[in-house]
Amino acid sequence: MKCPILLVAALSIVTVSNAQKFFTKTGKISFDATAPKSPENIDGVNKNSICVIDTKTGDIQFSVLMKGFEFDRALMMEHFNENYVESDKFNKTTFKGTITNNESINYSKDGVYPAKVKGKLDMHGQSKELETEGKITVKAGKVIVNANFVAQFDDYKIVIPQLVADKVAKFAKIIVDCTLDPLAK
Amino acid sequence: MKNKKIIYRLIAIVLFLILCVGIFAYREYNRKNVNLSDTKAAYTLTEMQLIEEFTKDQDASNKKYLGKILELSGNIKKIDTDANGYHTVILGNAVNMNSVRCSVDSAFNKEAHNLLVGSPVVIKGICTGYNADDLGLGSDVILNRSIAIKK
Repeated sequence: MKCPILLVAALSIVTVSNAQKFFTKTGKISFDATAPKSPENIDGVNKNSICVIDTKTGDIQFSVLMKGFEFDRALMMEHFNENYVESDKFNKTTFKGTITNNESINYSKDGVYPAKVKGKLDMHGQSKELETEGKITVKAGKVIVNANFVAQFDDYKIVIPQLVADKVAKFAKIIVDCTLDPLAK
Repeated sequence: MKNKKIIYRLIAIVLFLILCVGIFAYREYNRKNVNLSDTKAAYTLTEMQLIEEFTKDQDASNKKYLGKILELSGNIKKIDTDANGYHTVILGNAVNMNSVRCSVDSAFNKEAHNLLVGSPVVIKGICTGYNADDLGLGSDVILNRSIAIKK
Protein backbone atom coordinates (compact mmCIF):
# COMPACT_ATOMS: atom_id res chain seq x y z
CA MET A 1 0.00 0.00 0.00
CA LYS A 2 2.92 2.31 0.56
CA CYS A 3 4.06 2.09 -3.03
CA PRO A 4 1.37 4.26 -4.66
CA ILE A 5 2.01 6.99 -2.08
CA LEU A 6 5.74 6.86 -2.74
CA LEU A 7 5.10 6.92 -6.45
CA VAL A 8 2.87 9.99 -6.16
CA ALA A 9 5.43 11.67 -3.95
CA ALA A 10 8.25 10.86 -6.37
CA LEU A 11 6.22 12.11 -9.32
CA SER A 12 5.38 15.37 -7.60
CA ILE A 13 9.04 15.99 -6.78
CA VAL A 14 9.92 15.44 -10.41
CA THR A 15 7.24 17.86 -11.59
CA VAL A 16 8.38 20.53 -9.16
CA SER A 17 12.03 20.42 -10.12
CA ASN A 18 11.12 20.30 -13.80
CA ALA A 19 8.55 23.06 -13.62
CA GLN A 20 8.40 24.77 -16.95
CA LYS A 21 6.95 28.02 -15.77
CA PHE A 22 7.92 30.25 -12.91
CA PHE A 23 5.87 33.19 -11.71
CA THR A 24 5.39 35.79 -9.02
CA LYS A 25 2.69 38.27 -8.15
CA THR A 26 4.82 40.14 -5.66
CA GLY A 27 7.66 41.22 -7.89
CA LYS A 28 9.43 44.47 -7.03
CA ILE A 29 9.89 47.01 -9.79
CA SER A 30 11.18 50.44 -8.89
CA PHE A 31 12.19 53.47 -10.85
CA ASP A 32 14.46 56.42 -10.24
CA ALA A 33 14.00 59.58 -12.26
CA THR A 34 16.11 61.90 -10.13
CA ALA A 35 17.80 64.64 -12.16
CA PRO A 36 21.56 65.00 -11.50
CA LYS A 37 21.20 68.24 -9.50
CA SER A 38 17.89 67.52 -7.83
CA PRO A 39 17.80 68.13 -4.06
CA GLU A 40 15.37 65.26 -3.55
CA ASN A 41 14.95 61.76 -4.86
CA ILE A 42 12.28 61.15 -7.45
CA ASP A 43 11.61 57.47 -7.06
CA GLY A 44 8.83 54.99 -6.49
CA VAL A 45 8.41 51.29 -5.97
CA ASN A 46 5.78 48.76 -6.99
CA LYS A 47 5.69 45.57 -4.94
CA ASN A 48 2.84 43.86 -6.77
CA SER A 49 4.33 43.29 -10.18
CA ILE A 50 3.54 40.11 -12.02
CA CYS A 51 6.33 38.26 -13.74
CA VAL A 52 6.16 34.96 -15.62
CA ILE A 53 9.00 33.03 -17.23
CA ASP A 54 8.63 30.04 -19.49
CA THR A 55 11.92 28.22 -19.05
CA LYS A 56 11.50 26.08 -22.18
CA THR A 57 10.88 28.89 -24.64
CA GLY A 58 12.59 31.71 -22.72
CA ASP A 59 9.46 33.85 -22.88
CA ILE A 60 9.35 36.45 -20.15
CA GLN A 61 6.44 38.74 -19.25
CA PHE A 62 5.89 41.53 -16.79
CA SER A 63 2.72 43.35 -15.85
CA VAL A 64 2.70 46.38 -13.56
CA LEU A 65 -0.20 48.49 -12.35
CA MET A 66 0.88 52.13 -12.42
CA LYS A 67 -1.39 53.09 -9.53
CA GLY A 68 0.52 50.57 -7.43
CA PHE A 69 3.69 52.67 -7.26
CA GLU A 70 4.43 53.92 -3.75
CA PHE A 71 6.18 57.18 -2.97
CA ASP A 72 7.38 58.93 0.16
CA ARG A 73 5.51 62.11 -0.61
CA ALA A 74 1.81 62.10 -1.36
CA LEU A 75 2.19 65.04 -3.75
CA MET A 76 4.78 63.18 -5.80
CA MET A 77 2.44 60.22 -6.11
CA GLU A 78 -0.41 62.47 -7.27
CA HIS A 79 1.78 64.18 -9.87
CA PHE A 80 3.06 60.82 -11.08
CA ASN A 81 -0.44 59.42 -11.50
CA GLU A 82 -2.28 62.49 -12.75
CA ASN A 83 0.27 64.43 -14.80
CA TYR A 84 2.98 62.07 -15.96
CA VAL A 85 1.81 58.52 -16.54
CA GLU A 86 -1.94 59.34 -16.50
CA SER A 87 -2.71 56.13 -14.70
CA ASP A 88 -6.48 56.65 -14.97
CA LYS A 89 -6.14 56.18 -18.72
CA PHE A 90 -3.11 53.88 -18.84
CA ASN A 91 -3.02 51.90 -15.62
CA LYS A 92 -1.14 48.89 -16.90
CA THR A 93 2.42 48.71 -18.16
CA THR A 94 3.48 45.44 -19.70
CA PHE A 95 6.65 43.94 -21.06
CA LYS A 96 6.63 40.91 -23.32
CA GLY A 97 9.89 39.48 -24.49
CA THR A 98 12.25 36.57 -24.71
CA ILE A 99 15.51 35.67 -23.09
CA THR A 100 17.74 35.44 -26.16
CA ASN A 101 20.41 33.32 -24.50
CA ASN A 102 17.91 31.05 -22.77
CA GLU A 103 19.74 27.86 -23.73
CA SER A 104 22.73 28.90 -21.61
CA ILE A 105 20.62 29.07 -18.44
CA ASN A 106 20.20 25.88 -16.47
CA TYR A 107 17.03 26.37 -14.45
CA SER A 108 17.50 23.15 -12.53
CA LYS A 109 20.98 23.97 -11.27
CA ASP A 110 21.69 26.66 -8.68
CA GLY A 111 23.79 29.49 -10.00
CA VAL A 112 23.91 33.01 -11.37
CA TYR A 113 23.41 33.32 -15.12
CA PRO A 114 23.75 36.44 -17.24
CA ALA A 115 20.63 36.96 -19.33
CA LYS A 116 19.89 38.99 -22.41
CA VAL A 117 16.30 40.05 -22.89
CA LYS A 118 14.63 41.50 -25.94
CA GLY A 119 11.03 42.52 -26.21
CA LYS A 120 8.39 45.17 -26.21
CA LEU A 121 7.52 47.58 -23.42
CA ASP A 122 4.00 48.99 -23.48
CA MET A 123 3.61 52.08 -21.33
CA HIS A 124 1.46 55.18 -21.44
CA GLY A 125 -0.22 53.97 -24.62
CA GLN A 126 3.11 53.69 -26.46
CA SER A 127 4.93 50.56 -27.48
CA LYS A 128 8.69 50.42 -27.80
CA GLU A 129 11.28 47.75 -28.52
CA LEU A 130 13.63 47.20 -25.63
CA GLU A 131 16.82 45.24 -25.21
CA THR A 132 18.65 44.87 -21.94
CA GLU A 133 20.95 42.66 -19.96
CA GLY A 134 20.28 41.31 -16.54
CA LYS A 135 20.90 38.26 -14.47
CA ILE A 136 18.94 35.21 -13.53
CA THR A 137 19.74 33.50 -10.26
CA VAL A 138 18.56 29.98 -9.68
CA LYS A 139 18.48 29.23 -5.97
CA ALA A 140 16.69 26.52 -4.01
CA GLY A 141 14.05 25.92 -6.68
CA LYS A 142 13.35 29.63 -7.15
CA VAL A 143 14.28 31.90 -10.00
CA ILE A 144 15.38 35.45 -9.20
CA VAL A 145 15.29 38.00 -11.99
CA ASN A 146 17.37 41.17 -11.73
CA ALA A 147 17.71 43.81 -14.41
CA ASN A 148 18.33 47.53 -14.76
CA PHE A 149 17.42 49.48 -17.81
CA VAL A 150 16.58 53.00 -18.87
CA ALA A 151 13.30 54.23 -20.32
CA GLN A 152 13.37 57.62 -22.07
CA PHE A 153 10.21 59.59 -21.30
CA ASP A 154 10.17 60.97 -24.87
CA ASP A 155 9.71 57.46 -26.25
CA TYR A 156 6.55 56.98 -24.23
CA LYS A 157 5.17 60.50 -24.72
CA ILE A 158 5.51 61.26 -21.02
CA VAL A 159 5.89 65.01 -20.73
CA ILE A 160 7.88 66.50 -17.86
CA PRO A 161 7.01 70.20 -17.41
CA GLN A 162 9.88 72.70 -17.64
CA LEU A 163 9.09 73.82 -14.10
CA VAL A 164 10.33 70.57 -12.57
CA ALA A 165 13.00 69.79 -15.18
CA ASP A 166 15.74 70.48 -12.63
CA LYS A 167 14.36 67.71 -10.41
CA VAL A 168 12.92 65.13 -12.75
CA ALA A 169 15.30 63.63 -15.29
CA LYS A 170 14.39 62.96 -18.92
CA PHE A 171 14.51 59.24 -18.36
CA ALA A 172 13.84 56.73 -15.62
CA LYS A 173 16.19 54.05 -14.42
CA ILE A 174 14.06 50.98 -13.93
CA ILE A 175 15.16 48.34 -11.48
CA VAL A 176 13.64 44.87 -11.63
CA ASP A 177 13.90 42.52 -8.66
CA CYS A 178 11.52 39.56 -8.81
CA THR A 179 11.66 36.21 -7.05
CA LEU A 180 9.68 33.59 -8.96
CA ASP A 181 8.19 30.37 -7.66
CA PRO A 182 7.57 27.29 -9.79
CA LEU A 183 4.07 27.16 -11.19
CA ALA A 184 2.50 23.93 -10.02
CA LYS A 185 0.16 22.50 -12.61
CA MET B 1 -0.40 110.86 4.52
CA LYS B 2 -3.49 108.94 3.61
CA ASN B 3 -1.77 107.45 0.58
CA LYS B 4 1.10 106.19 2.68
CA LYS B 5 -1.26 104.44 5.05
CA ILE B 6 -2.95 102.67 2.16
CA ILE B 7 0.40 101.59 0.74
CA TYR B 8 1.51 100.19 4.11
CA ARG B 9 -1.71 98.31 4.42
CA LEU B 10 -1.35 96.93 0.91
CA ILE B 11 2.20 95.82 1.64
CA ALA B 12 1.03 94.12 4.83
CA ILE B 13 -1.74 92.30 2.97
CA VAL B 14 0.61 91.18 0.21
CA LEU B 15 3.19 89.94 2.74
CA PHE B 16 0.47 88.06 4.59
CA LEU B 17 -0.71 86.44 1.37
CA ILE B 18 2.86 85.42 0.45
CA LEU B 19 3.25 83.91 3.89
CA CYS B 20 -0.02 81.98 3.51
CA VAL B 21 0.98 80.67 0.09
CA GLY B 22 4.41 79.76 1.48
CA ILE B 23 2.97 77.81 4.40
CA PHE B 24 0.48 76.08 2.13
CA ALA B 25 3.15 75.16 -0.39
CA TYR B 26 5.49 73.89 2.32
CA ARG B 27 2.80 71.72 3.91
CA GLU B 28 1.58 70.47 0.57
CA TYR B 29 5.13 69.59 -0.51
CA ASN B 30 5.83 67.65 2.67
CA ARG B 31 2.44 65.99 2.84
CA LYS B 32 2.74 62.30 3.63
CA ASN B 33 0.42 59.62 2.37
CA VAL B 34 -2.73 59.42 4.45
CA ASN B 35 -2.73 56.95 7.26
CA LEU B 36 -5.53 54.59 6.38
CA SER B 37 -6.34 53.69 9.96
CA ASP B 38 -7.94 57.07 10.57
CA THR B 39 -9.43 57.60 7.14
CA LYS B 40 -12.95 56.61 6.23
CA ALA B 41 -13.37 54.07 3.45
CA ALA B 42 -15.15 55.17 0.28
CA TYR B 43 -16.73 51.73 -0.15
CA THR B 44 -17.40 48.89 2.24
CA LEU B 45 -17.98 45.46 0.73
CA THR B 46 -16.94 41.82 0.75
CA GLU B 47 -14.00 40.54 -1.27
CA MET B 48 -16.34 38.37 -3.38
CA GLN B 49 -18.49 41.35 -4.37
CA LEU B 50 -15.39 43.26 -5.43
CA ILE B 51 -14.00 40.39 -7.51
CA GLU B 52 -17.39 39.87 -9.14
CA GLU B 53 -17.71 43.52 -10.12
CA PHE B 54 -14.24 43.58 -11.65
CA THR B 55 -14.77 40.32 -13.51
CA LYS B 56 -18.06 41.56 -14.95
CA ASP B 57 -16.98 45.02 -16.06
CA GLN B 58 -13.37 45.97 -15.66
CA ASP B 59 -13.64 49.48 -17.09
CA ALA B 60 -16.60 50.53 -14.97
CA SER B 61 -15.00 49.06 -11.85
CA ASN B 62 -11.71 50.79 -12.60
CA LYS B 63 -13.56 54.09 -12.80
CA LYS B 64 -15.40 53.39 -9.60
CA TYR B 65 -12.65 51.98 -7.41
CA LEU B 66 -9.19 52.99 -8.64
CA GLY B 67 -7.34 55.06 -6.08
CA LYS B 68 -10.22 54.75 -3.60
CA ILE B 69 -10.01 53.45 -0.05
CA LEU B 70 -11.92 50.20 0.31
CA GLU B 71 -12.91 48.32 3.41
CA LEU B 72 -13.16 44.63 2.59
CA SER B 73 -14.36 41.79 4.72
CA GLY B 74 -13.39 38.30 3.72
CA ASN B 75 -11.46 35.18 4.50
CA ILE B 76 -7.70 34.90 4.41
CA LYS B 77 -6.80 32.40 1.73
CA LYS B 78 -3.04 32.76 1.99
CA ILE B 79 -0.36 35.08 3.28
CA ASP B 80 2.65 35.67 1.01
CA THR B 81 5.86 36.96 2.50
CA ASP B 82 8.53 38.29 0.16
CA ALA B 83 12.32 38.22 0.52
CA ASN B 84 12.25 41.50 2.47
CA GLY B 85 9.67 40.24 4.95
CA TYR B 86 6.74 42.24 3.56
CA HIS B 87 3.40 40.53 3.68
CA THR B 88 0.62 40.27 1.15
CA VAL B 89 -2.67 39.06 2.54
CA ILE B 90 -4.71 37.19 -0.06
CA LEU B 91 -8.45 37.22 0.39
CA GLY B 92 -10.69 34.70 -1.30
CA ASN B 93 -11.78 31.11 -1.04
CA ALA B 94 -9.85 28.01 -1.91
CA VAL B 95 -12.29 26.93 -4.64
CA ASN B 96 -12.05 30.13 -6.64
CA MET B 97 -8.84 31.03 -8.48
CA ASN B 98 -9.66 34.73 -8.26
CA SER B 99 -8.71 36.72 -5.22
CA VAL B 100 -7.97 40.11 -3.74
CA ARG B 101 -4.29 40.67 -2.98
CA CYS B 102 -3.72 43.17 -0.19
CA SER B 103 -0.14 44.32 0.08
CA VAL B 104 0.34 45.30 3.71
CA ASP B 105 1.45 48.82 4.67
CA SER B 106 5.06 48.43 5.83
CA ALA B 107 4.25 50.37 9.02
CA PHE B 108 1.69 47.70 9.90
CA ASN B 109 3.78 44.72 8.89
CA LYS B 110 4.13 43.56 12.50
CA GLU B 111 0.37 43.40 13.01
CA ALA B 112 0.11 41.19 9.94
CA HIS B 113 2.19 38.53 11.73
CA ASN B 114 -0.83 37.75 13.89
CA LEU B 115 -3.21 37.08 11.03
CA LEU B 116 -4.18 33.47 10.48
CA VAL B 117 -4.88 31.73 7.21
CA GLY B 118 -8.52 30.63 7.05
CA SER B 119 -9.79 33.22 9.51
CA PRO B 120 -12.09 36.14 8.66
CA VAL B 121 -10.62 39.61 8.53
CA VAL B 122 -11.52 43.20 7.68
CA ILE B 123 -8.92 45.00 5.60
CA LYS B 124 -8.69 48.60 4.53
CA GLY B 125 -6.56 49.45 1.53
CA ILE B 126 -6.26 51.56 -1.61
CA CYS B 127 -7.45 49.87 -4.78
CA THR B 128 -4.71 50.05 -7.41
CA GLY B 129 -6.20 47.89 -10.13
CA TYR B 130 -7.14 44.55 -11.53
CA ASN B 131 -5.02 41.92 -13.23
CA ALA B 132 -7.17 39.83 -15.51
CA ASP B 133 -6.35 36.17 -15.81
CA ASP B 134 -4.27 36.34 -19.00
CA LEU B 135 -1.54 34.08 -17.67
CA GLY B 136 -3.66 31.29 -16.25
CA LEU B 137 -2.86 32.23 -12.66
CA GLY B 138 -6.29 33.51 -11.64
CA SER B 139 -7.30 37.15 -11.74
CA ASP B 140 -6.67 39.52 -8.88
CA VAL B 141 -7.83 42.83 -7.56
CA ILE B 142 -4.90 44.61 -5.90
CA LEU B 143 -5.06 46.73 -2.75
CA ASN B 144 -2.05 48.71 -1.65
CA ARG B 145 -0.93 49.98 1.75
CA SER B 146 -3.44 47.69 3.40
CA ILE B 147 -4.07 47.44 7.11
CA ALA B 148 -6.10 44.90 9.00
CA ILE B 149 -8.62 46.58 11.25
CA LYS B 150 -10.06 44.92 14.28
CA LYS B 151 -13.61 43.65 14.11
